[in-house]
Amino acid sequence: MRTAQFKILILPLSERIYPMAKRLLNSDSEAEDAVQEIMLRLWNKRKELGKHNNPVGYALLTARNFCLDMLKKKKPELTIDKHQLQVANHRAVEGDYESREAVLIVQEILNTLPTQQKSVIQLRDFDGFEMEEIAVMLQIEVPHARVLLSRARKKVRQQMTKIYSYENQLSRAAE
Amino acid sequence: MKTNYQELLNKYYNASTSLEEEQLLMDDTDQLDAIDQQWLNVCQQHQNVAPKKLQEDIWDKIEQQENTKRKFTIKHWMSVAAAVLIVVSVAIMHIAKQRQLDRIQKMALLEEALFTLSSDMQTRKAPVVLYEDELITCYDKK
Repeated sequence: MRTAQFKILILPLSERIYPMAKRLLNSDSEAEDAVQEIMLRLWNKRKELGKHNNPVGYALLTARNFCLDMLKKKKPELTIDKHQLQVANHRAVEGDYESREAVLIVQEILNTLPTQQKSVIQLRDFDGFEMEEIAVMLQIEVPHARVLLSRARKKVRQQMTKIYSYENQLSRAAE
Repeated sequence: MKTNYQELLNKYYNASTSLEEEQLLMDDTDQLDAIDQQWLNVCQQHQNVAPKKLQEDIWDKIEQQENTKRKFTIKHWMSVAAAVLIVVSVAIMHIAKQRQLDRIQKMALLEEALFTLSSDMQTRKAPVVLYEDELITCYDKK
């Protein structure tokens, strides 16, 4: 792949990879570093990339694998700082308790989903990837990715409805 | 209008909406019920935007890496050339030294032959021609 091609085809992907990196690594600076490192690796592999049938898909797959590797390396630190993170989160949400609560509820629901469903819904609804890209990143077929996404969205809605109706019942009972 | 949103929402839950259609839903959550609103708001909160100069920063880094590589390649080839030059000069010097040694050896042999010849001539008084032939043969051999 030539420099011009790389600049047109691969470099703009950095802006699309960033949200995923940020979500996975939970840090602006680490996400930025990760995206830079991914792009440098892709640049060094540009000859291979040029021969690939789907260079964009290959780049996205490389990016996701890199972020997951970084996340694995990062895990011990995260467990140490968990309490600090919670404290920081509570401070940040004082003014916006409801939306913060919704985020926590959604997180809880997402954690109950099967791994692939969780990955698909996060990649689509949080990171904004196309279905074709998600299919490449998860190494599945596009129709399968659609089925997983549909099931995941329906499950999330179902769970949220359950939780909110239960909360409504409680508040009515309290009144 | 509401039916449109309902249709879109149905498509959304069947995972057949495009990203643009999903953005439309997110931009207009007032048209939806509380649960869908909550969900789409959470999605929006999770969406992260890349820093403005991310692409430029990455390209600068790539160029920096390429420059370092280029410098390293030049240095590498220069040191290879220097090493080759040293090896070649050592070889030339060795050959020259060897040739010099050969000449010294030949001179020594010649000197020895001349010395023998002169001493023989003094002691035995043998015919000069015979010694001349020996001397020439000896010189040719060496």
